[in-house]
Amino acid sequence: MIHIVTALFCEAKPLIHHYRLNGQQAENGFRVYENDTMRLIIAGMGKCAAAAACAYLQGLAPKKKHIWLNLGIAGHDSLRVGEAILAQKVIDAATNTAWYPPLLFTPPCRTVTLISVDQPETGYVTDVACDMEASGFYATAARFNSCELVQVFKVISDNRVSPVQQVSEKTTQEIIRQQLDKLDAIIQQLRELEARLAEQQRKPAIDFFLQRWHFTVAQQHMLQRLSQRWQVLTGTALDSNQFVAEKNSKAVLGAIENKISVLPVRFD
Amino acid sequence: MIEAIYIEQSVFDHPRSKAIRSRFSQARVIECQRYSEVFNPKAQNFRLQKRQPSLILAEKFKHFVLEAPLSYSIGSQRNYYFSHMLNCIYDCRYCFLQGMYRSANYVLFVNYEAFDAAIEETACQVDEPAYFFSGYDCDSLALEPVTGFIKHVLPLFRKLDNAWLELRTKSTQIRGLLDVEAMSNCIVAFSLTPEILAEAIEHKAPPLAKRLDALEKLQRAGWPIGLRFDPVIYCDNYQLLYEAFFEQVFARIDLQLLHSVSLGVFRVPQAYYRNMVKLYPEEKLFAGPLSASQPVVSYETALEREMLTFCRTKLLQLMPANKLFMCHDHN
Ligand code: SF4
Repeated sequence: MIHIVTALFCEAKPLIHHYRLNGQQAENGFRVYENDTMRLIIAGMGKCAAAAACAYLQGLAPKKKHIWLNLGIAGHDSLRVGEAILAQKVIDAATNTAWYPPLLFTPPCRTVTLISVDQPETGYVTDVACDMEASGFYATAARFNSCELVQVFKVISDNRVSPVQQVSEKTTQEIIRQQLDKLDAIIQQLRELEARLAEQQRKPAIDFFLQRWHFTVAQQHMLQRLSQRWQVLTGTALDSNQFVAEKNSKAVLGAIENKISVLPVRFD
Repeated sequence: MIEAIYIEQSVFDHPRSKAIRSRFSQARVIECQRYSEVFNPKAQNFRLQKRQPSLILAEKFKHFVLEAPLSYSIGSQRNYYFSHMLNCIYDCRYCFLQGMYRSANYVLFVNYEAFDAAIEETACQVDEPAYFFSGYDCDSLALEPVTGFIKHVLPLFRKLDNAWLELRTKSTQIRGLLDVEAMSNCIVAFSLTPEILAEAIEHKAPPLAKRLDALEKLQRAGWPIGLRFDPVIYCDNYQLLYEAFFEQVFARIDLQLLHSVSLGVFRVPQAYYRNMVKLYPEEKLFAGPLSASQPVVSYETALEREMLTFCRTKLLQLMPANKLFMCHDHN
């Protein structure tokens, strides 16, 4: 599932249309929109709200790993209004803590350093984008998945020439809508990474064993690893029927180990 | 190809940082306070990052030279190692680095002069031969065209009487060595594995034939050569494989210029091993007959002994015993 955190409804609206997201009943103060593969939350402004929204989304499917994206608008001294950026470094202005989202793909847009401030800023720092949510988002979302799958995507809404006072809900929607192709490209890349990670973390099925014998948690881990080894060395799944004669879980594990110990190991 | 370079603020304008930046002029440059901010965070995936590692340029402040594990000894009582770089451009499945670090990014410490000072100080403190191992946390030569570290450090060893330098490598980046006069106190130690195994588990490393070609060129130029058969990897036909392999290697070796050979089986601390299995659960190397409950994971004792005895016997048919060193990490 892709989890997208935005601060404002006007930032979310183009995505709601583009990805055909359906609004869920507002519960506990957060409005969530979703389809089969994506969940979008409107967090409200500020890093605390962004952090809380991440925790809320994760709570909806706590055992799962998700792709995380913070999407919104940001100011920048010199980039043109409407330009899309990915954060290569996120700084929390209040604590000076920094995060470095690893970008394991060629970004479809410019990458810049992004600083998250607590109060709206009217001044600009050279070559640094500015928002109010990314640090809260990153600090929290990176707890829920490997940080290669946690990214911050912003569209420049204001700069020295076109100051923040000129930003409206309408212009926000428009500039985000114009960058949806870039967002699509990023999501596509992140999905590929997610698939690789899922492949790495895929556990062999051991349900048939669990139905037949009682395994402690530690024994389940052992069983899982033995199943993996069996699979690697034989190219087939471990079949619980081979062990029906065994009386208990300990005997099953011993029997599997014995069988594995005589399997050939070849690299050619 | 390096797509991103993280540079610590304190070395942002260091001449080596500037040179590396200009070499990778297309790379994104990101300033950081300390390399650990990028390298150490927990929630990173080494295997994913290995697809596209970034380079981190940093400054090292302490622990430039450390005592080397006993298993590294090639004849001296005084063994040290230093790491100007963390991580490697190759991707050997048995490499402990993938179990030790969370990030696959390469860290390069650019303050080489501080390494020089520490090496010199250590060498001066002992009155017997001291061996310095480079290539503990990386391959000594693989990234030499970018780092120039070996080129930098060789002159120091030229003037140190009691100090020996070991460059441990699988690389063919030997031009820098061939361009200078061979040094009797610098051993170029090649890690070698039978071809079938190298193809299966030493990903991105030069093939055996290329390593042997490089070795032979250096040997001809007068550089002392080391052979590192470590780790020896178990497979059903290991005896056939290793016997033919040793003969293949020694057919290229001038025993006069052979400094040392070391031999050890696959072994890795248990905590690292667990991480390695998590990253590569489908790896055949980890599915084999390893005894995973010991503090150092390795083959079951009887098998380990059998493998070492076999390899040692075969090697001693091809080389003198006084140049063979056995590597163990005792549990
Ligand atoms: S060459 Fe050495 S340092 Fe590099 S991956 Fe292989 S074992 Fe590790």
